[in-house]
Amino acid sequence: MDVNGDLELAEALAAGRVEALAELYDRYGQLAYSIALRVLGDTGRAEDVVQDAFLKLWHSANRFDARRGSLRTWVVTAVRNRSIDYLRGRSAHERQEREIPLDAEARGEGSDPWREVAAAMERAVIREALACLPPEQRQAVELAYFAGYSHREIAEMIRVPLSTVKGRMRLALEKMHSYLQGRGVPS
Amino acid sequence: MTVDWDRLDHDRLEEAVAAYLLDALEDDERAQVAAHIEGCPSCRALIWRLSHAVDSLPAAVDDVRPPARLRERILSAAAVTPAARADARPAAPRIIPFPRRASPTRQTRTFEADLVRVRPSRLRVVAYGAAGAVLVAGFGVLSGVVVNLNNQVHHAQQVAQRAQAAPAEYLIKGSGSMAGASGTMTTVPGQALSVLAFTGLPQVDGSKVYQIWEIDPNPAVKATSLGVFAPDPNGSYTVKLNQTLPAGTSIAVTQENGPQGAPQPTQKPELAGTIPH
Repeated sequence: MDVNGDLELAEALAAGRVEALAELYDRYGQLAYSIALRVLGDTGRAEDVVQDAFLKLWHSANRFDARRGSLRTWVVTAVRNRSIDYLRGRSAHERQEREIPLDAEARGEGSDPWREVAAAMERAVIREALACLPPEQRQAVELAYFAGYSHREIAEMIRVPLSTVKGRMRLALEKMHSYLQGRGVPS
Repeated sequence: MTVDWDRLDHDRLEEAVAAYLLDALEDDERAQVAAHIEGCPSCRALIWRLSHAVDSLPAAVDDVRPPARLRERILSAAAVTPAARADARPAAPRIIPFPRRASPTRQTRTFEADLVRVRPSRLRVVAYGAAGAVLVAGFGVLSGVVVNLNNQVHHAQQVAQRAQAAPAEYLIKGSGSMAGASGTMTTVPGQALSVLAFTGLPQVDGSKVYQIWEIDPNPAVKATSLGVFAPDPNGSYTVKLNQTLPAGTSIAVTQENGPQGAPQPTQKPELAGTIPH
């Protein structure tokens, strides 16, 4: 299903239309930069990573598959992965990208002020959901998602068994899902 | 008693699904989980549930506006590097390029400085008229966008109800020559975000623009221009402000000379509303 013009935009990108890249950046550039800055903590590096990610998308736009997720997810995944790679000193070819399961994600970003109001309120709920987690569960999620540590590295870092880290991650995500669902944040 | 090795394997891999989604597995285990998911309906259902949480994580970061130069850097680099194969998909000439933003002026706060461009998506993009083109070139005015207000307001209200923190909405009333116009100011609790939506605006001739003013309750404080605009052919205009509108603040709209508007209102506003205390 086409969400908020994703398919048309992806087609225009694949056709090499620079204005489509401008539109992609206008839609998701701020989100991308915010994620890169959250991971890297440095504005200069964040700029480099966002530029690298958008150019990578530009060069591979014909590989976008709308069935596997929205353009937003595509951008977020690219920026987050590159940020983590940069942070951990990994080269891009070392990464095996996780594919988004079919039908797991198909929502688009808001497209007008009213949707932005709704999106802002959703963001507030999402922050609450994260903040409500027990500290050890939140830590496991944040170390993995925003700092790029593996579960094994996290287990060594905080000196708990590997199974404990896995359990905390699962409990955290289950709780977040329940919280978001209860507040009507769509999946 | 026999050991159900398949069951044990399933439990082990299921326990790793959260780490898989958080990209926290080593390569070999990631491959095992990925292969297992393909043939395991219960793990796929778990993936679907937990993905809801993982996919929401990017929205948990603080929103930071990137420097304007980053956009230029990316587009400049793209212009000199090959894009994706041009023949990979049919061209789709439905993307409408947006006007480049102009630099803010000293006298007047412009949309470049204070407003984020309204981005049409499924919304209908209004063709820019000659007056609009002049404004774009000289002032970075936002494109006119027709907004299905009823649906959008309803959507915002639904989200607000779900979030149990309703945005507050206030009326902007027209009078005199603007008696047919009206608007709303919507503010979001705890967010530097407000939305102004106008309807029924009379069209302005090519030399005039509408100018939005923020008027402080203290009469000693001068009005602050929030920018200029031209309504769409239906007389509508919606804009997002990255700021709060404190109680007592009034929003007013006047017609001023284009393209830049005026440093201060030159007429008594006939379209105005106040955020109550």
